Amino acid sequence: MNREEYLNVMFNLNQAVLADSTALLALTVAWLDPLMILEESGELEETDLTEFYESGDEMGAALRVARDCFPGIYAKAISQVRDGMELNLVSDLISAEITEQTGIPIDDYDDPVAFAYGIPMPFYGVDWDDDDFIEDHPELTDLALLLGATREQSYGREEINFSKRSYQVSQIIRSSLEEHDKDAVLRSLMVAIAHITGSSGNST
Amino acid sequence: MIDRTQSRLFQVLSEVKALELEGSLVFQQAMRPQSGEFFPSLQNIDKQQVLRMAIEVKEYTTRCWQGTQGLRDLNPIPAQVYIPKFGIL
Repeated sequence: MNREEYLNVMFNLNQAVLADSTALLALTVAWLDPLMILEESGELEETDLTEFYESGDEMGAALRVARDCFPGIYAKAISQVRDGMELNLVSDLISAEITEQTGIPIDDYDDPVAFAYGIPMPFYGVDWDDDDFIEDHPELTDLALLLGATREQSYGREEINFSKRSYQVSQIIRSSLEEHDKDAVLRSLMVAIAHITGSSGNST
Repeated sequence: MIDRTQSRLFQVLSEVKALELEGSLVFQQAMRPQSGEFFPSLQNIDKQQVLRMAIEVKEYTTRCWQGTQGLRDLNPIPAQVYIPKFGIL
């Protein structure tokens, strides 16, 4: 079959598909959401993020996260792959698009399969694992202890340990202070509790 | 008498009109039948429209998945009951 004959066959095939509403619907899904079809047909070896991490499939994890959180970016990435983009650049494209749309800088991570943990957001908040934390932040340390956290020795240094219960207590107190946000002191306390118990990181 | 056979069910389902998605209309417009490509590129399509189409298709595929899971989990029920002792059909 020469090129012209091939294009004629393609033309007839495309015309037939475009004229059939069911085939057109199926092709639209394949165009914009091929992962769903592959997953349904059992073609995908990995179906959740843990499996992507174990297999080291960087592109797969990034596409999965994009599909779950940013469908437009996911569709664009799929289209770029069809247009010939190198597969090892797909996660970079997704990172850049997320940054452009949300302002979240997510291009600076070491783990190649970082997307397997969700959106690779930078860490913002109080770093309790910092070696000099207690020394550098005595006021935050005191507040943490008031909320039920404990000072503990770990690997030859002292650190603050928040138990699940102390976190829950902190959240309850913080929530109860929301209705007093017109009181400057109570509002400051609410913000301080939110500051020491909240942090950003990977999420989906 | 109502025809409850599998072939009738298949016939009924196959007569259901295919859903018309925004993505399908855009696909028709963007497709270049003589180019040899199976799928048009999204490069020349407005970003907001791509987002709308992607969300719509994702919601559609999710509904399909939930529907098939629901059907799969249905317990079988007898379509016909025949009790010859009492002549009940």
